[in-house]
Amino acid sequence: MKYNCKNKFLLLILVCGPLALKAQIAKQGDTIGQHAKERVNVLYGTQEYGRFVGNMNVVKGDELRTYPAIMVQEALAGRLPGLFMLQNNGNPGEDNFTSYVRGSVGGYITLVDGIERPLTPYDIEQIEEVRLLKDPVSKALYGGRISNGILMVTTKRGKEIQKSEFHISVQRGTKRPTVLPKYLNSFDFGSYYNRALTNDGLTNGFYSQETLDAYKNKSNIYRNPDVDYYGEFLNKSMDVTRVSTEYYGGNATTQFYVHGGYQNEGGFEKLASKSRQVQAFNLQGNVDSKFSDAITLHANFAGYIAIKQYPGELGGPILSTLASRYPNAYPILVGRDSAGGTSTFRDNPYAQQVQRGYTQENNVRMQTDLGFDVKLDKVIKGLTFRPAYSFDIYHKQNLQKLNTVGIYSVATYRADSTPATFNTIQTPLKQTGQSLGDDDYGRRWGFINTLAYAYKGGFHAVDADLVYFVSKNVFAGEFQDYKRQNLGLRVNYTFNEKYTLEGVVNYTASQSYTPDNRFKTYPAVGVGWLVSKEKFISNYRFLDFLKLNASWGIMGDGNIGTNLWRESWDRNNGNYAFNVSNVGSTTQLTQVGSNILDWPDQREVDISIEARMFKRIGWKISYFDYLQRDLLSKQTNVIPSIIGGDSFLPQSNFGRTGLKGVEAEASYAGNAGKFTYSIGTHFTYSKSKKVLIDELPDPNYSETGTPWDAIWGYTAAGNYTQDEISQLVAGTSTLPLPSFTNAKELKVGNIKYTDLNGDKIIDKYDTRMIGNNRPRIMYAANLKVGYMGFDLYAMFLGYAKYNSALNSSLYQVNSTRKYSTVIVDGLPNGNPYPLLTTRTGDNDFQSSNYWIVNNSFVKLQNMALSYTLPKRIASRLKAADVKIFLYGTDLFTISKIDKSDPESLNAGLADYPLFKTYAAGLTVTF
Amino acid sequence: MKNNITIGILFMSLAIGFSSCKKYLDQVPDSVNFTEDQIFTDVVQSQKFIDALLTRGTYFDDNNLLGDPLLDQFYGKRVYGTREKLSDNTIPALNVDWINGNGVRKGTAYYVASAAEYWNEGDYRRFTTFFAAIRIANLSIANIDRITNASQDEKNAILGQAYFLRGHFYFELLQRWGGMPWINYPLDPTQDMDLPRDSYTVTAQKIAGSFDSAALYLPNLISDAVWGKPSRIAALGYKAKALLWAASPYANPSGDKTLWQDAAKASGEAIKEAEAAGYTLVSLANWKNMFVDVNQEALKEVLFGRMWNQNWSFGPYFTRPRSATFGPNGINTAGAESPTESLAECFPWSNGEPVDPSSTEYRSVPYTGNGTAHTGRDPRFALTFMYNGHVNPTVQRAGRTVQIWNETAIVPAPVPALPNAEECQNNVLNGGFTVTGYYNYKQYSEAMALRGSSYIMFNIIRMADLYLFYAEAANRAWGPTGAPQGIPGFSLTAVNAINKIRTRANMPEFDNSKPWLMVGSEANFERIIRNENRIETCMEDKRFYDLRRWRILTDPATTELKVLYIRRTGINTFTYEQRLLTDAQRLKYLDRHYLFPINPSNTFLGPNFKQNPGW
Repeated sequence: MKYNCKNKFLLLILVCGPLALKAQIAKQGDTIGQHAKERVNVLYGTQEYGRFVGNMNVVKGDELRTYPAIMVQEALAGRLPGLFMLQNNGNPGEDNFTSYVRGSVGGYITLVDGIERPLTPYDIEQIEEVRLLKDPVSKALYGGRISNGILMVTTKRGKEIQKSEFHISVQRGTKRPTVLPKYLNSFDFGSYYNRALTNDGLTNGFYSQETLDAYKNKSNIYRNPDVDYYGEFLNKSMDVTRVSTEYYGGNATTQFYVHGGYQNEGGFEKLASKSRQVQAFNLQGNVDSKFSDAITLHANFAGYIAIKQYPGELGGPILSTLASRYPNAYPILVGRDSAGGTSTFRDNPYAQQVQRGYTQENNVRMQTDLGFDVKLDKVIKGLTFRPAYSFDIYHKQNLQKLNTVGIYSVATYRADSTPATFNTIQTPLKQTGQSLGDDDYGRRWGFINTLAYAYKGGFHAVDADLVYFVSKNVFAGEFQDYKRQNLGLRVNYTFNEKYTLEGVVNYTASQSYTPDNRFKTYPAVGVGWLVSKEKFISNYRFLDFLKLNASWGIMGDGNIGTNLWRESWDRNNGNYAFNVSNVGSTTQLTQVGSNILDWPDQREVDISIEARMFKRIGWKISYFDYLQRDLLSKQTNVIPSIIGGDSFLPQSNFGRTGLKGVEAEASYAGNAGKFTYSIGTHFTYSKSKKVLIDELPDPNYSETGTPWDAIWGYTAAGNYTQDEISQLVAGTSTLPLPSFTNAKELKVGNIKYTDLNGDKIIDKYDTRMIGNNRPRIMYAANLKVGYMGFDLYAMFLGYAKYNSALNSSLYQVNSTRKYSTVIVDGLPNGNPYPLLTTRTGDNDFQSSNYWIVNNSFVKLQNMALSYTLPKRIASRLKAADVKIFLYGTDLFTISKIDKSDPESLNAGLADYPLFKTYAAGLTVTF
Repeated sequence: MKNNITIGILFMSLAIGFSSCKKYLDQVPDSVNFTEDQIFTDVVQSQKFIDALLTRGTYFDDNNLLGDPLLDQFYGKRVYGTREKLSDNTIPALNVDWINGNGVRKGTAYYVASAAEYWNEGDYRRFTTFFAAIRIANLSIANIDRITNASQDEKNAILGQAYFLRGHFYFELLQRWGGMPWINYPLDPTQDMDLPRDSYTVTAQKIAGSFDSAALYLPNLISDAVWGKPSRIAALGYKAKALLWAASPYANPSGDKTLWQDAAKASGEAIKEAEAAGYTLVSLANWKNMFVDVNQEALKEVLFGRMWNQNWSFGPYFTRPRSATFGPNGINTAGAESPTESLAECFPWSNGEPVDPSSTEYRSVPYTGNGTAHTGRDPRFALTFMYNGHVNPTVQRAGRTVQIWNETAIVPAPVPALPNAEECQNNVLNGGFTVTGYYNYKQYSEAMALRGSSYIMFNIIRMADLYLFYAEAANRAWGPTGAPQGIPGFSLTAVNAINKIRTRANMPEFDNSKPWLMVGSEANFERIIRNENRIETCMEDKRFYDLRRWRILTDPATTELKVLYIRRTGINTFTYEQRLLTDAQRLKYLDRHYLFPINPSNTFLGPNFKQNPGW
């Protein structure tokens, strides 16, 4: 736990990466030689960094503030080595990230103030620090869970200062789409559609030259509409606002912190009276108070209210309509406030935005924590007892008012081609009241009981923590609560401040297993050697800090699903019709009891070496190796069907997955006169492996040994000619036959594929790994320059060794999909767009390397320019500190892909696009 | 004071934390579903457990009525089509073809938007589903003595149903994938499951044995209130079917007479018992009601079948003509499975004389005859096909008759308005129109055409089937007119059995009175039986399996497919041409198509469980 509030300001550089280092140097230009003595937050306590045997990184809340987003997650991208964070779309206020630690296999756990809580309801301003624990020893006390990392988020608390401070920060920004999908206008669409029909050998459905000209001249927008959907229905930008007020302070006995925040983002739909928007209110207050020398109280409350509104249904279908309607599908308006449409397409975006109504989602979350530090020196010197209780509730409710919109088509035209009469395709129906949609609630309580012991004397130093953890989550509509229980002992022993041995034993329990297999013990061990303390090295004066850490551990998975061990039978209602009136229920087996199921686990190794040199340079290199074992599987592919199929198979421990990789970090800080500067960089590489999977014992096809992120597909090899097709049809060809299409359906120009195994058939056995759909490499670099009151900060974030299949509707325009500019300009990988078709295109749209693109990219993820007023001017304004700033995110991207944001190829098609943000603001401290 | 607080905190912590360490993780009692014990000791739950096999949801062929059209096309989807389209009775579209031996693709059939494969290598789902059903039946049998609150009758009902359904699902496996290991107990997942496969005949005989067991326990008849449950009569009929399959040429290439005798005896006994129990051939007026618009009368012929009420909007798409008037009130849907001309030509003139496709009469008036030599076709013809000029209640209501034609030769343009034109087969590329000149009328529901709902029935065994089974087996066992042996009180001959079906259809009997009513040799009469079988049971999803068991799926005579090409020469005058489909336009069967492929996950696992030949 993080109840020792003094610690957080002590820790500066440490492992904690370039950011901390830079902050330290830039602010104080101080030495970094003492950091081995500093206390850092670890799970359920603190530790001297010199005695820490694991691997962690930290980013301070101050660093995150330069990111003008309302989601903490967004601000975390690129800040922590090993934390991959790709944003899927720009929907306001949604946790829409593909995020993992060190590799796409295995998740991570987010703890806020020691308890598993979602990060979404927090305001960036509330965050004191975010710490990523990556090694097995650091994670071990959080038993019963497998994770590649624990993201330990600490919110702010009061501090002991002479005068309480009032801090206010206001910023407002504008968000512009990084890339919006581009589509052809009606004229171009019609021309290309004709080409597609010709390719298909079809003879009707063509657009006449007359019609095409009408599209071009826009001579009649009713008969020949040409709608730029994205332009007509979306604004150029939307706004983001953040306001935060803080009041904090305290003396030696009592410290307090109060925060009130308001955040707002949205407004992208152009016409909607209630455009999509999220407004969030945060309120937090806490107090740390010493009752006596022996007893300290820690109390904290945090509340969150978010109101999300959508034009139309929850989530809103608006973007997907824009991305799928042909520009000439229907005139948007056939009369004043009368939406056009056809019997097939009743999704007119005007009607969706203006007439459909709205949905409002209300979220409420409350977090309360109460803890004590009870010093039991009288019993045993160095013994502290720290019970802590937490209680959270959340509630989510949707209110809807959804009208049925009127949709009309033109029946007859006047002489001037304006509409004369209409057909009603859909009759409007106004809703008179709101209706209640989702109504969801949950509550969670947790109890962490820590008995801590610290001893220091002579050459020996011992820290020991005995932690008992118990929690319960209650969900709406679930009889069975989710409960956890854990008992862990951590002992850290350091000899002569140089050699540290830390061991953790975790006795953990899970309701997922049979009663006699519920309790399991898992170990973790780590060693640390503070080389820079050694005499033989002290001659090397440039070496400020050198440390070698190695840890090993096993974690068990108690989170596999409730009661899998139990056989379950259930009624199956209303599916039973022998005769006219005979409807009854039947009984069926719903779950085979997996009573021999054992705990899956993860064996981990983490080795790191870390150094500080010349008081300016810091670096760390880490190696990690994870192996998940005894994973759950029904083995449906390797057990014969005669057993009755997977509904009669229990889960079994079958399956292994590996993940290995390296991380490296480096930083440099310096100053030249009044200039201070620092650069920091980090790099992560990892690769996963399917070691044992439920796979058909097919001697000719196996995915075992390949990575989990593999994309499988054929190898494209040129295009068919008429002769080749004729020979294939006649059966006289030496070319392989495709298994997925009939040779008779092939057309000149269709993609040929390579017959890898030479059996004259292109089938599954000719697929290979043609790419990996997760980045193997993440790297980032940040730069900070200070001069007088000016500070410039820039952070670049890149992902590499990363492929994507171009299979979204933007890149694969077959069947009835909207014609994007891709068909004119070709694919971002340099391949021309394949033969246009109005059909499904069974041959060309197979998964193949034709569609694979190198998805690597680098972004200027965050940039900040600020000016802090000189003290004398500030004091004239009766303020202690005044800072004005300009923030920007996602300012430019270097990538091969320019028709989508490379961070998410699907953004903007069904969901909001990704945005670049420009924000300006002011911070005043009184 | 200080100590008091300390003690208070400690006490509170201990009270919360350590009070019930172990029990804390136990399940909330209310959240528990039934346990195995609650199922198998209780008669009601045990009955409901085996009843699950009769539901529409998972196990029966009427599976997935509204489900994913891409799955299960071949393995039993009824709404989107039947296995008839793999036989010579219907074709969904022209230019269907196998895809390199793995699947068959349909070309431009209308009823699914994308090009689905009928024979999908990836979809072996029903294979597993059938074994799941067999496991459920075996569980019911194995646990019967655990029931504590059942009378003997109640136990018998469960046992009988379990034996019957085990037989049924094994039979489904048999006719798709061939002989299987006989599993009559719930397999343990830890045991070796690489079991050798029994032969086709042996599996069929074991299935017959399961029906024998079922007959011991089942009530003779099932009341109307629970219609759809198996009865003893149904078990006897199904046993006859299994034994006929065991004797059929595919399983019995040497023509072992004893197998035919067993089959004949079983079907004779089934007929005897069924007739005694009141089953009969319903009148021709009610004949169509056994398939759609099912009425009470029609149930008198059906021993075992599946029936459900279907709304028009989800009706069997494959029967729907692409026509605003034929379809349910303006719904323009697909007639995706078009009956072939080859099937139509099996229907003789109403005097029993076979049609001659090359005759001028047939070419000018194929449906009715010219009124001099012939005055119409077999009455079942008009009940089976919707053809050019067909009159039915739907089009009568609209004051029209059916018109189907491929091209109009009326010149010069413009074509005069056609007040009674209903259907233009003018563009076969435009999916959904018939590609053969016919639509399926046998399963066309008048109620659904009025946007109503109808009871739809899939017969698994009806009386006509029993007579056909018997005729086929008795003809081989004892000759066309040979008296049955070993069935006391039963004297029907093969010819008598066929004549029963002919009589019901108002067709002349085979009494040697005319050249075309000659019984002839055993081989000749078998040809007659097969033709009668095809006429009587077409569109009922039976033909494909008959072609397989007769081993004529690859026969050139079977694979020859004809369609009718219709030219409109005047306002109401037409000419007809029988066109043979070219090789490119139709499926070509290979020897391996006599059985479906088995999912390699079963055959890769050991040396015993073998893949079907050719796959």
